[in-house]
Amino acid sequence: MPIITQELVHRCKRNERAAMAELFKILAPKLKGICYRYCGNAFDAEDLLQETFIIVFTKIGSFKEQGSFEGWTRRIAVNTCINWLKKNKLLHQMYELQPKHDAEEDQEEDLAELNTQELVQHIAALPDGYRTILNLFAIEGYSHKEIGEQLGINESTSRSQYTRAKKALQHLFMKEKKP
Amino acid sequence: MRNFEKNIKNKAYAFQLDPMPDSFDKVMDALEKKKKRRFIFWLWILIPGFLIAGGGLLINQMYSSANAQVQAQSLKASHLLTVLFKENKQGLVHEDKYALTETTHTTTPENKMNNRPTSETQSLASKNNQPVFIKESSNQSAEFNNRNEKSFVQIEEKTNMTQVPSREKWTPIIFSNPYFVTFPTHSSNPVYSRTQIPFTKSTLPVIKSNSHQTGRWSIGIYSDLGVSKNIFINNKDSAGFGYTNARQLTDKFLFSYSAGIQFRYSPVKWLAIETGIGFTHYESNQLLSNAGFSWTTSGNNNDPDTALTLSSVDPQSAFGPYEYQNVYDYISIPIKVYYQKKWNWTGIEAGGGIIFDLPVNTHSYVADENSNMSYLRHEVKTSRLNVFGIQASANIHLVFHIKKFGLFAGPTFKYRMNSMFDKNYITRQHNYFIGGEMGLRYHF
Repeated sequence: MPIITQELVHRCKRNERAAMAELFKILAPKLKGICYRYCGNAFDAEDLLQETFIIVFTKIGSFKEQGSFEGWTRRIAVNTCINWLKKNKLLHQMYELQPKHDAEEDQEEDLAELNTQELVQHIAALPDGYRTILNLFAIEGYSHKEIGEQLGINESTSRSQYTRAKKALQHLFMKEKKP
Repeated sequence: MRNFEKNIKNKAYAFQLDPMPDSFDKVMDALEKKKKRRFIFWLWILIPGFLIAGGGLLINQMYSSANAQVQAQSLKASHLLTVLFKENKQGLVHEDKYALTETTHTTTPENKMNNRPTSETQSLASKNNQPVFIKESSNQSAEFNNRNEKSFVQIEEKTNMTQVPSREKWTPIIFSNPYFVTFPTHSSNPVYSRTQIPFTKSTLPVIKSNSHQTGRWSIGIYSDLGVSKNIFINNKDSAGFGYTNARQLTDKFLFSYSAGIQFRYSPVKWLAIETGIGFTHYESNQLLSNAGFSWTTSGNNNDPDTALTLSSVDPQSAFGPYEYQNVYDYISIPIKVYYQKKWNWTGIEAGGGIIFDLPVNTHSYVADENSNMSYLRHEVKTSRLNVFGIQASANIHLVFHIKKFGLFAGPTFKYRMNSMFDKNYITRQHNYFIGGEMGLRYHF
């Protein structure tokens, strides 16, 4: 696995195309994976990936090199995706859609059986609102308070939506398991 | 962390998707475009800034000697002058007018020889080639000299600056403090001269001028920079799946410009009529796709004239979407009317009119839309384009006057009133432009 060295970041700051291409090669698959998890389809994920890299290369001069560069780019990707969801008003579904199976019990053990590909496909199949909160809370590690601030909703809304998202995900898994 | 979160976090972090092969190139292209846009933005901000700052500096350096000449000419031209003093900082006219003005008083300098009038108000002018001297102000002193067998009236002004109106027309003029105006008293053809002492830092200039004194005709150059976008209209495209709707969704604001020369005539002081000739460049983006769903195409057709042509545009991107830049270049002839208002050395103009456009260089994809199907045409045929366009234009200019030059800048809006496609197309395409205009004109 190639590593992002400080030297590589410096070369990118100097707008060296070869270095930028190398950085793109290393980070693009991971960042596109993130974008896919948020938008739910490969077509928009590609657009969001490009938008993310435009921001990364534009703002790379402001990267302080105190933290992880990859972490910094991940945050940019997440923010780009959230902005895209807001811009396209896709988060409205958060307030409108209800999970069809509220009473289902947690099937955490069952979810553990899923491989990466299957899990992400299930996440992608969730409504946009649920998918966003699930990504932010369970995967990115944001608190409900931070999610509330980021999306402009109440902390309690984030919490309840997350519970529903989790159940919706479990339902999708169960549906596939027992056709 | 609970098992659920831990489980999906580990798996989600491991998830990767390969980008498209041309993804990096697209990022670099977008960065280039962004840089270009940023450069143009700063150019648009900095050029007027430098021009305005440079113009101000020029005025600051040029006004004293330039206006001394104007003053001398005015004196020769009319002999009927009123000099009003202005306080520099407040810009207020002194109520106790120190005047060089026409008067019925017939006192001559000879009568006053060796006197030094200081306590009365005074005015000074020449009438019938005979100097007339009346004192109306205590704000200055006058003395008479008899040098080399000629008599002179020499007035020392104590004020910072002066404006000289010649009847209704105002002449730009700045006087230093102090300065001397010398009038020969025994001459059938008097020539007036003035000796000026340079300004001090505390005496900044004020110029009052009028364009009619520099001529009603003017010639100039102009440049419009901004962004343009298209509006698409097609009543049959109500389903929202066709070409019109797709273009509405995907078209972006793109950089546009025009530049040219202009001619102006001002029949009255508050009105100006303008025409000229220039070059106008517009662009529009268009997403083409051969894929299952499409932004600007919704079907295939084997007719060579209407078949999808993405592969002929870019064989490497046969599956699209491919962004194509439509280009529309015109020779433009504007006819505009402006209301204008002028102050000391600034002014404002507001107006508008129409611009006639003749297409000279066009590359564009267009579509026919029939029975809910859209087809791209490979190239626009001459017959597909309107032979001329008509734009409505609205402008506001802030104007800075430097001697006979006028530097102007301000916002501008243009809207193409007729469709860019001819009447055979169901789709109507109207272009609008938002930006700024700046330029320089010379008044004859």
